[in-house]
Amino acid sequence: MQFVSLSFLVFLPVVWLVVRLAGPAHKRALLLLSSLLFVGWISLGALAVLLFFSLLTFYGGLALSSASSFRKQLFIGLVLLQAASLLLLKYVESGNAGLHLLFHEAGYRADLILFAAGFSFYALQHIAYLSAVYHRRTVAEQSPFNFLLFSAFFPKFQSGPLEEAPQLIAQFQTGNARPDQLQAGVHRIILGIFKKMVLADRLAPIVGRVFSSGQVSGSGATAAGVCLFTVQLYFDFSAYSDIAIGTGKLFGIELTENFNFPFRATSVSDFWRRWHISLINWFGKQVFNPVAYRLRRFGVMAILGGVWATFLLSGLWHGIGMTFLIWSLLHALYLSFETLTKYKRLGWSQRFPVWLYTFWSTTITFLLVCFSNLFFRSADLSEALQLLRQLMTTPFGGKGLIAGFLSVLAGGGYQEALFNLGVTGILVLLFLILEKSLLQRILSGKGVWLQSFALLLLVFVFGIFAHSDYFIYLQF
Amino acid sequence: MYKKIILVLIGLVLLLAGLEKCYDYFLKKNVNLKSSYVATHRIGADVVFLGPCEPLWMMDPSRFQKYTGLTAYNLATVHASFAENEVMLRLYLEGNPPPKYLFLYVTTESVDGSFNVFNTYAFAQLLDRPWLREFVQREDPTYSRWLRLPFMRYAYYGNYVHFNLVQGIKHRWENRAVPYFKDGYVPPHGIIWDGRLELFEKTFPNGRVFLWNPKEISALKSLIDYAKGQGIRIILYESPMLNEIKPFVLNREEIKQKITKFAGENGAPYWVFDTLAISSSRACFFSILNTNERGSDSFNHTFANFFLDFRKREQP
Repeated sequence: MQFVSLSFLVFLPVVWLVVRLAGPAHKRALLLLSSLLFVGWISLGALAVLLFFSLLTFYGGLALSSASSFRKQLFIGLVLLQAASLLLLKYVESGNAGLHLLFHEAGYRADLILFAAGFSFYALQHIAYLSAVYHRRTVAEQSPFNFLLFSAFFPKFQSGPLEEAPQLIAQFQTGNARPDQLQAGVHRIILGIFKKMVLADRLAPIVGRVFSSGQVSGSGATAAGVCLFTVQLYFDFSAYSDIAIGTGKLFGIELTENFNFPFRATSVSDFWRRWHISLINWFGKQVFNPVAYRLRRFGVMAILGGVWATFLLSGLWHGIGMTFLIWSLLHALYLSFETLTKYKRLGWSQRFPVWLYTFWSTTITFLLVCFSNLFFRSADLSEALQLLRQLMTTPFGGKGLIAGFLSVLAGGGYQEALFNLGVTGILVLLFLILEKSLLQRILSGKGVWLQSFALLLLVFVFGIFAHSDYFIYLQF
Repeated sequence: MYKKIILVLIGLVLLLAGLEKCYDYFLKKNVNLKSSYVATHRIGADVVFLGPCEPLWMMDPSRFQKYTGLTAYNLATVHASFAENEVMLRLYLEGNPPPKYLFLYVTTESVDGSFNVFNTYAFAQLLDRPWLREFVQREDPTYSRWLRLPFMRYAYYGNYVHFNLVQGIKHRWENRAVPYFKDGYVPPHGIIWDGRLELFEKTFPNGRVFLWNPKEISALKSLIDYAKGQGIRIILYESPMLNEIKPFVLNREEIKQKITKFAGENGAPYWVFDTLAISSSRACFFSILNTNERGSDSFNHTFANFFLDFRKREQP
């Protein structure tokens, strides 16, 4: 079941109504039931995998809290089991020879991916939980039902945000949503639907004409396609997070914010404080801090060690392959450069007016992120290299503005295609300009109903309904 | 808050219902929308060409009339399946008497079902016709499910509709009555080599086996039966294709024989023009199956002469 689908459009109000009518006493049980139904709807295999790993982690947590010997071995064993399963999943998904063929030939590959729905996200949450219990930062959860609900909670099951068990489980015990939460939840969901159907899905075919199309274009169209992919990814994933956060609010549960206007970042380190925040927080706590702590005697090398370990593992988490490796190395390089030049850059910034330095650094940051995403989006290394070669050619491939640029992105030089490209461009630009005020209006509640009315109207008029249910981050 | 939700929903439904009426009105005013145009304008041709883009960009009614003396109209639409062809014919017959002859383009590609589709959005403004709704329900059931909601008939394929709407508003403003296609024909002005041959060869380096798709065959039979029921003489034909592609169509002869047999069983001749000299030269094509202006000039002449011979044989 996907967030932007007719089935979810029926599922969510029904679950909400039942939970609301049953009252706070039955909230946990009903949320657990509906979450298991949600996962089972994706596939029964996914439900079985979820039950196995959740109960294993739950009882593992209990054992870790009570064991006096072999604690370390038990902790490492439990973490390794989930990490190895995750690695195996990434290996099979990446289509690497051998194992992939074994599954593929047996016709199981698609089933396996369905089997593992959400695993990438809840496995990380399980590891964080085990780590917290092992290091005695938290007490082990005593109720298997609470823990299962923490793992399966349907708004965040498939693609996060990544949550910490104690904080989320505590919210399951509270009453129904307050009126302000309900209102914010409804508007946040509408904002997410708008971002997905009107912005991300209108950008998808434009990006698809540059990536994986077999079409050779000039540097202008290639650069535009690469940049637009970053924008599409942001709209797509933040739309998912908006719907997840909004849905959580409807049940009185506050999920972690995953994005904070990332295109306003003035450095790559600033970007990572604004993009997929819950994942980077996870890596900060589980990878960066321990590595940096162990290397603390080596000064700045401790930070660099933490950065490289974080991004290599983050690349691995996204997928096994050269493209993800290069993507992660690029970000590690960017951040290393920023760490080493921190004071020098501070000096530079004081020589220019603030607005100029902010504009310049925001633009550079955006372009650096876009460049790394060329590898993130490419199907394989040969496609990435082909796109790099295209970036070195003339802007319009020697064909002029319309034939070599606009018609490549529009999918044809005819008027209708150019018209649709223009509409998409205007909608994207307007949204990026107004984004902050739209979100602020949801937080303040002033004029928000009119805003949601307008957004819904735009969804109906400019939204993509056919094939709109697939979110990019579901593949990770 | 619940009151506000209900107000927003009611307001939205009302606005969408109003918007649907606006779209209905202005799309019907767009004379460049062939589906609307043929249903509402008197054309009265003796001969009609039907099919996807190949006849649309190839069969010139004015030349056909010049060579044969019969008035003609090109009813073809881009990427159209046989089901869409039948809908176009039915719409045409709403405002016009049945033509004497109907030439339907049929090739290995069109019976496969992977290349041409039912372009539902082209008929969204005409869905007040129950028979058309039945077609849409059969050919595009997912779209049909959304039709219960206001405006969804336009929203679902919005990207294909908005430009037509803007054009409809412009045509209404200008009171335009003549479409850009005078007699349905769209000459391939300025269309350059599209590279589909290279793409096909790259995608299927060892060639491709085309399907004898039962769904397409059933739609073809339905179209033939309908035309015959209206007293129209239907003739199936295949225009020239570039010789370079033929080795990559592995079962071409088999499918050709099947079409010939099928046509014979259904009382329709099948003309195949695959040995013409133009087939051997890229200078006459802009794509695998589409002739450019030079190729079209040549083929229209050949086709008209072939038809005149056929007519002589049929009506000595």
